[in-house]
Amino acid sequence: MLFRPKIKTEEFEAAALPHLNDLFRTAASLLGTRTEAEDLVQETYLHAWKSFHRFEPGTNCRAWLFKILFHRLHHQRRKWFRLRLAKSEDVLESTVPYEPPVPETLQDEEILAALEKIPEDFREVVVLADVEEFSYKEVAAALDIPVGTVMSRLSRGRRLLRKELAEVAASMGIKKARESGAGGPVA
Amino acid sequence: MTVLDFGQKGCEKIRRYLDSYLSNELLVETNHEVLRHLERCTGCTEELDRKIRARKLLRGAVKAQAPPPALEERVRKAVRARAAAAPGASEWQRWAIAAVVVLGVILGGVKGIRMRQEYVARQAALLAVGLQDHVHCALAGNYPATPPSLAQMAEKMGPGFVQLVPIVEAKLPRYRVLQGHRCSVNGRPYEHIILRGDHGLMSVVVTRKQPGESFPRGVLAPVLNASGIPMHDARLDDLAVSGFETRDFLVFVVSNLSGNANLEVAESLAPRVRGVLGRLES
Repeated sequence: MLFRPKIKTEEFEAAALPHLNDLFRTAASLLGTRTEAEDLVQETYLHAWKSFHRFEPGTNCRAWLFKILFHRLHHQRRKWFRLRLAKSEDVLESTVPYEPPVPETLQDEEILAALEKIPEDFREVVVLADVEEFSYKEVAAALDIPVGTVMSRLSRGRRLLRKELAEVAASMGIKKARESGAGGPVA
Repeated sequence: MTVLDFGQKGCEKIRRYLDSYLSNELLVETNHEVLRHLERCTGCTEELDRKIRARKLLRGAVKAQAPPPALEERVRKAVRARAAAAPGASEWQRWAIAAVVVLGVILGGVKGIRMRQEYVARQAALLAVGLQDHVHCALAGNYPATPPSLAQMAEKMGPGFVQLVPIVEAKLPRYRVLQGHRCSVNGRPYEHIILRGDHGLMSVVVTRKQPGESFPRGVLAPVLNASGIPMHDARLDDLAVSGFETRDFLVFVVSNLSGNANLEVAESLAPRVRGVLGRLES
């Protein structure tokens, strides 16, 4: 269209700002620092504003914003030419079926540290599906991957996360045992 | 043995479904199948329980990450700064230039094309003056749920301009007047009547000419019509804008009518509208 009516910032803000907290916590879970997360969120909103005239009012604004967030995040990653590690799918699976025990309690920092240990591709799917509660279809749209890939990454991501959580708990247990003077590993 | 085998195979199958079951992505029948199995299988129930607990831990940790309170204000400021930096005027320039390109191609002819381009550009720029009021006021929904009375409209438009309302109503019996008011777009004041027809909204817009403002003459014969009043007409996507002038005023009709329908409305209104405005000018 050669011409478009001027959209007021108030209209945009009313539709988009309510999702700021969710966008931030996702960014913070996927990036290294809170500062990076803040910058990504701001970048996301600026890009959303730029394309708001293409957004159909009444459709899912939250999903639309998350899609922009991941677009910016992936663009950032490509831009910095980070050595692309082997695609998550190439990571060989252990043939031994493993059902890691889940710790009763862990500190938030420990849980987030465990999350950071699993490959980025899996991490994104797990956060979008398990925390932000998007459907497989919505996750696929946000990350621009097929639904089948969402399902497999979610399955494996969840399992890897549990493995990391169990390891964190075990190492914490060992630490505590040492601190309290007890000998040997704690089960 | 067979029972065990069957049990193992059953569990294997169900375990493969558990992730989708947890995410509520299973078909209804498969969901029931899983539920029935879980009812009699502690192993799988415990595994599901572990998955649920792991997810709960993750949710708690991620959701606890709140943004700094200043972030919302920072984002607001950034968006508003970006909005302010994009000037509204350039939209109209782009529109006028694009109109020239499109109409220039349609009119064709190498010789007269530059003169035509100038003509069309000036015409387009002036028609944009009427178009912007329809877009920023009518299409933006600037009319009340209950149409105002004529007396209320007279309060806003003044006793002179409000006389346009019954003229418009008489010429457009299949339309309903939604609003009659004075409004302002990009700093320019307008007398604005908004109507609703079967097709959508229509605006009749009057604005005082600024020094030197006038529709271009010559070169192209403006649309011939029975009233003998030169009419100017253009279309942009699904909007049509037709315009004519009096000594001191520009008058526009804007709508999403197709074909020549919008132009025909403007032609039908022109004589009596000119009459009213002529009396106001003297």
